[in-house]
Amino acid sequence: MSSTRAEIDNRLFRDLFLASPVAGYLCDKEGYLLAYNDAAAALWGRRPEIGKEQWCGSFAIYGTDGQPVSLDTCPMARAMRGMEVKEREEIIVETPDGRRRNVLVYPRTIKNHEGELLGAHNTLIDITDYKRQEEKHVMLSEIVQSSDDAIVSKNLNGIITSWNAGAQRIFGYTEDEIVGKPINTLIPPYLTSEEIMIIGEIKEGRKIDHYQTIRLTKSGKEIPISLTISPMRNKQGQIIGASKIARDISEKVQREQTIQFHAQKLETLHAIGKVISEKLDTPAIIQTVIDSTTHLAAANVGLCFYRVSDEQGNSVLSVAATRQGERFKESRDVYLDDGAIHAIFSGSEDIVKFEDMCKAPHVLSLFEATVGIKSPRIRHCLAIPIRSSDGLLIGAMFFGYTQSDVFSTADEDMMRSIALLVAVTLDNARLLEQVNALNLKKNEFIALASHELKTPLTTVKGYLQILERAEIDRIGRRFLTKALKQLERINSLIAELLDISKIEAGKLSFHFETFDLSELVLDIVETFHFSSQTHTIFVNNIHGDYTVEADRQRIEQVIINLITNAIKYSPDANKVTVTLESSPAEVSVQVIDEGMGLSREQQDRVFTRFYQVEGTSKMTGLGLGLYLSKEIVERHGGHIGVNSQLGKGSTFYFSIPRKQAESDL
Amino acid sequence: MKKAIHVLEDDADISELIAFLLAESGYEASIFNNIASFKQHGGKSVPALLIIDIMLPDGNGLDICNAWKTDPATKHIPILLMSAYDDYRHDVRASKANGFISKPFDIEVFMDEVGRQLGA
Repeated sequence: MSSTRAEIDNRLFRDLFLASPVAGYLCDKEGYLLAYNDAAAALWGRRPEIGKEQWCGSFAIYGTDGQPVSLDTCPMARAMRGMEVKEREEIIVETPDGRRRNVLVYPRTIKNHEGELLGAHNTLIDITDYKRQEEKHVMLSEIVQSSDDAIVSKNLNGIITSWNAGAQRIFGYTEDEIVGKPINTLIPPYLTSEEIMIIGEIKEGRKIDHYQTIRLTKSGKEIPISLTISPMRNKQGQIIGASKIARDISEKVQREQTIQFHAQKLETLHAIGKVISEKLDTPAIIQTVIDSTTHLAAANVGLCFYRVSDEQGNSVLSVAATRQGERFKESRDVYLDDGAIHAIFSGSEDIVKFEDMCKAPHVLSLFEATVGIKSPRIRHCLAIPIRSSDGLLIGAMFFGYTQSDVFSTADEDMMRSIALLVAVTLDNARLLEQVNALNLKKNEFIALASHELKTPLTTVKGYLQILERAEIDRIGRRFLTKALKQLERINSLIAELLDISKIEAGKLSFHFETFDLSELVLDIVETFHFSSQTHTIFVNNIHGDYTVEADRQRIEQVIINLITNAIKYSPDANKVTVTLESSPAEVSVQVIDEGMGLSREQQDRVFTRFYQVEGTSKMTGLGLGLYLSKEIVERHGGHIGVNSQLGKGSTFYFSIPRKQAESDL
Repeated sequence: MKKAIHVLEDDADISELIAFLLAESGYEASIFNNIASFKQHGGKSVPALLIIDIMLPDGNGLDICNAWKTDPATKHIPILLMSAYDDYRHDVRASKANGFISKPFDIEVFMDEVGRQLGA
């Protein structure tokens, strides 16, 4: 059986249609679906029934603007009704499961020779992937173009192949000027070896991240940049060049420098604050402050005038000066009328700038008066007032400059802060002077009061002793003895108070003489034999050489204090042992009791002023005895201490050198 | 004949006490309350002993002591200095005074010192 030529052709066309990867379908003259291929079914996501559906097999159609299009007005329907259809009209086809595809439609009507409509065919080209690629490309190129960073690509020969707007902004070249030129155009001559290194890395397929370097702009300016360079590959994965992202970090570098500068300033302020809080010596503080502030202000000469009281309590104007970071004169008094300084700040509360010193001879004269001919030629000056908390002008700082460029950049806020700190220092110094003056008055008062108290004490003691000789009964004698004992207590309390005031005033005086310490100990112990009814004092190791150079009365005071304490704090015992020891360099005394002992914490505190062991309310006194003893022993260049265990008694000991150092005599 | 003792002491009660003690032991005490009256009346007779308080309202007892000890007419007369300031002990030691009595004193110690100075 053979087929006709027409039959064969028909078969071929039909196959071509059905197997085509391009979606297509046919409609009869009424617009009903006559045939469609697999590609069309895939596009629609469905297989519509032949002869039942009109115009199109889509589940739903939208315009490119996203608005729904009814099937009656789809391009195929319009074409078959003879209405206008755009060439390459684009629609959006939606599948039943909601997927949308962008499609170009090519509807064509088929007519016979008489022009009668026989049917129509439509070809649907899916352009979704192409459109997405295009959008992506537009987006990427928009990103590259709008980036603040320079984004540049180059090939492996170092020739620039692309250039964005950021690159133009940073480096100054337009795209036309630079594409095709070597990348070395942007590299300073002394850094060309860098490019060899970079290309080497890229060829190895390695990336360079945030590499900070210097590049040249079109105008020849060198700018700091941060570079990130990545290899670029073709579709086969071969490295064909590099993309570079360069960021201008001038601002960042400047910010870092600013931060560093501020940090340095803070450090200086901190150091100044530390000096102020740790020292009480005003001239030393002011000198430190003016030294560091002059350095910080980058001034050639710094002066700080301030008022302090001298030893006689008179207020004097002093000055501390520094020249180029080197102090050249100790702080000293100046004989200057501070009216000159007052006049400078009279019209202003704040910093005064003298741009031209020729026009300010009165300010220049301050430098000359202080620094003299050693002064470099001062052309500009910054003057900062120092005001007390109540607003009074109590001093001023002057910074002299020989050049104007540093002068104009001097940080005034910083200077103000420092002036405030100096004001605090001077206020503190004034307070300290007041406190010292008050303390002096207090010590004078104690000295006077103790003298006045001793006068009635003298007569009362005399009267009682006269009564004691008279014939009085047992009861009278008993209370008379008690009265005399109380009198002795008052007397020793007054003596202690007087000693304390002397220690505070630094006036506890010593009169050294050479004597035998063992004899002194024996004398003291003998008086205790008469006065103590409860305890016996034993002395050990009395033979030996106990010759010392010391204040006999003060050492006697110490030994009496230690023995009195030993008796007082061992109420249940009946003996106290005194042991002597000697070495070629020193002699020592130990006083050993069998009393209540001291805890570790009590031992640490027992030599402090006004300390009294807790739970000893009946143990009276001012708590000054051991403090005084410590002071006396230490002033002899000796050492005092205690070994003790709670409940097992204490051993107080002291040692003093045999000879006093020359300076103490 | 009773031995004459001059006492230069500004406190009335203390001088009364000393006068009592000295009279009790058979001495003749003359009391002066300040340097001015001592200079005015004290030179009328030469005492066997001079007792001087250091802190006086119109001057320092040490000065009187030094004046008497440098005057050939009086330098043989023993002088005792007194004070409630124990620190004067060292100044007294440096002076030509014969002894120092610290206030408040023990009356026995005081009278012993007086007796010692008078060679009793």
